[in-house]
Amino acid sequence: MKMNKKYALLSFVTAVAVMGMSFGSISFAQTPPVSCSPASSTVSANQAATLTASGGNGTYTWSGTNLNVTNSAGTQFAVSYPTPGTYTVIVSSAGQSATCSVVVVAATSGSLACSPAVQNVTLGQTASVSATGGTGTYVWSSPDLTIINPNGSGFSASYASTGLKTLTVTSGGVSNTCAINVLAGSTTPPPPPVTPGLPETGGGYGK
Amino acid sequence: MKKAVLLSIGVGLLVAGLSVFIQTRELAAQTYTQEPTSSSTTPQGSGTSFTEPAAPARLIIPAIGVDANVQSVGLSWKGDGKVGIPTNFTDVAWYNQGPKPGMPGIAVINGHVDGKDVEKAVFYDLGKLKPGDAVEVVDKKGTVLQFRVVESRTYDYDSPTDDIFIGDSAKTRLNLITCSGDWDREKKTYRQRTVVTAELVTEGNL
Repeated sequence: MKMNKKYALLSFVTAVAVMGMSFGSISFAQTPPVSCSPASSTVSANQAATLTASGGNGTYTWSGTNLNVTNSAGTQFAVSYPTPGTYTVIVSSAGQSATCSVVVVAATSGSLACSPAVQNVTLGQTASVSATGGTGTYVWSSPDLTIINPNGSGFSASYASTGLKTLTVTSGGVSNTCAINVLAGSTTPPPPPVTPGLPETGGGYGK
Repeated sequence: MKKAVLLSIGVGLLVAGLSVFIQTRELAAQTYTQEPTSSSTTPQGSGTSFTEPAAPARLIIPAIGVDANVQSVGLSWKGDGKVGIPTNFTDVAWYNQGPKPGMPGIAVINGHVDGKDVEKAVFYDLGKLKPGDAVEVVDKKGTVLQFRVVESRTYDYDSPTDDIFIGDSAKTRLNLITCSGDWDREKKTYRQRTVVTAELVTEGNL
């Protein structure tokens, strides 16, 4: 019995020692491959394409040729191009990268458009977009908003959280989507806007 | 004895191996399970649509007999930082660096109260407007926008103007401005400005 206790203790010590060493090895667990989806999307000129990254270490960097990227670290990425063509967007994470292809076709005359296709606002700022083309009658929808009045050619929204938001306008059964990237506010408050002085609207008749 | 020691080490290695297997699987599962950061089914803000108007063309205020052409102005040509004014005494002037009437925020239109040689200009009676009075703006597409007066305020001529030009974007307002108060002979200006605020009439505030 005495011997058994000794061996049990030895087993326990060996297990703890090996497990202790194994904690170090957990950090070498494989990082899942980074991917970009949809792999290919087709949009009209100046229409937003929304892409989503997955895998990697959860931190992403988006890039593309001649692409002016304002905020490149999110899981989702919105992009629009003014000229037809095929464009490649690259997402990188943990030393790996993946690509999405965005095919931009010319917008047909009178087709439904939502503009600006992509815009950045900070928390608390109001984002405004407008619709043109289509039948002239519009319905706005968004998974991110409580919409007070969905009908109108323009739409203004304010958001309570950061991230990429989408606004979809539908007209005559056709839809188009604008993307709004809501960024955290600057740590220093923006300078107050300069408003003009009151007008000189009097000539002092008879004075 | 030797056998027993080897057996103990073997059991220890087995337990440790099993533990590492379980931990690695959990870590991999956590790494793969990433929530999207921005798509959500819960509304995270609010929005409203509006019919985007064209630039204003005419201003009509039946209560004080105004039916005026609307000029488009920026800042005064004098470079004094003041809002521009109409070039005659019968027109009014829309400040084109702000929203158009009918867009969220505050649109601003000003007009003369008088001239050096003109007793009554277009906004001579602006101060007589009362809450509830109708104000109409016809835009360049011919769309008629109905406003209703909600308040009238008086400011010193050199007051800060933030609350006159910048407002709650959830509301669609129109500020009408003209001179009022005593004439300051030295500064050659009236000492005050009357600001009449009208709000767009929508289905929600009829």
